[in-house]
Amino acid sequence: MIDTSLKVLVVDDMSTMRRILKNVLKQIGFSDLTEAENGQDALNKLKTGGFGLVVSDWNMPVMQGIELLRAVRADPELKHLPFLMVTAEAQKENIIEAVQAGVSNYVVKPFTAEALQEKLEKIFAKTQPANA
Amino acid sequence: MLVDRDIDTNELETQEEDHSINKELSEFTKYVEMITRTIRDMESPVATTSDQLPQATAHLNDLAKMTEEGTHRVLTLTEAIETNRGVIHAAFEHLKGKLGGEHAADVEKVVELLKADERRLMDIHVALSFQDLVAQRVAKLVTILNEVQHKLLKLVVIFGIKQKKDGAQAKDGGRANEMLRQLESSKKTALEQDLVDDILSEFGCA
Repeated sequence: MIDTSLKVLVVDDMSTMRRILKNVLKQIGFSDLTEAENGQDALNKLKTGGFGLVVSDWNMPVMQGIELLRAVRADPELKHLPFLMVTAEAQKENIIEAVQAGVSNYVVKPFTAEALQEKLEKIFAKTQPANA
Repeated sequence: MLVDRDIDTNELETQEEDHSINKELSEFTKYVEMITRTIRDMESPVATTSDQLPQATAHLNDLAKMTEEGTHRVLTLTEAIETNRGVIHAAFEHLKGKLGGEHAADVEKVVELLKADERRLMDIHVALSFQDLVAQRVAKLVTILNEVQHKLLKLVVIFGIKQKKDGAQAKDGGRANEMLRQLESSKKTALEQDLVDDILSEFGCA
């Protein structure tokens, strides 16, 4: 079951995508949503603490989503954060790279609300037994 | 006699070598002439294209910006509809609790329709993610065009190609130039609807 009480960080350089993702996440039940427009901005916000989920694009200026993922996994305070990649970069190599970097799940753009919800359910199904 | 014959043979070989070198030089000269002619033929298209590319890039960036603005407008409207739908849904749920029997069943049907609309509204939101894909592809095209422009400029500089004036460009640029001219003109001269309305009202047509 998705823990909708968690604070979510939505990372995308496109303002339209941040808005769309926030609307879908609100519909799923999340209410504490914060935006970041690139990996560096996201990392700075994550370091302030309190986040329970990251939903990030791959292709962004300043710091790409994959670099953000590596930085998150390398940080002892952040390394356990569920990290969902939502991206148009869907070559086999991209997916392998993301998995090797420690991505929790991967949604390909264009996506549906159901696909996003299904991936989040899978992420939380994996994390909950460990936390229990 | 033997020495004379040797000298004759050497002269013959030297003459053959000279002939061969002359032939090669002649072919090389022809090749250089051909290259020069090709470069001369290339000058005009290269100059025109290097002029057109920055404009084409700017229009592509405008395209991405326009789709972004349009998407935000649609999102604003659908978010407003969603807010209203939520209020109506809550009101009907409240009403359903107060009513009983047949009336409650009728209200339930309305609630079901509202739930179906909630899903449709979400589908509209998600479908708008096409804009992000458009913007990403435009960004990649702009990168390619910038690279091509950079290489063309190198050619322009290396071969000392002169940039032509506007009049000459229109002739050389052909259809591409005309399309760019139209795009540029629509950008500069197209009026916002409210300005058009002001003008229409001045003429009593609004």
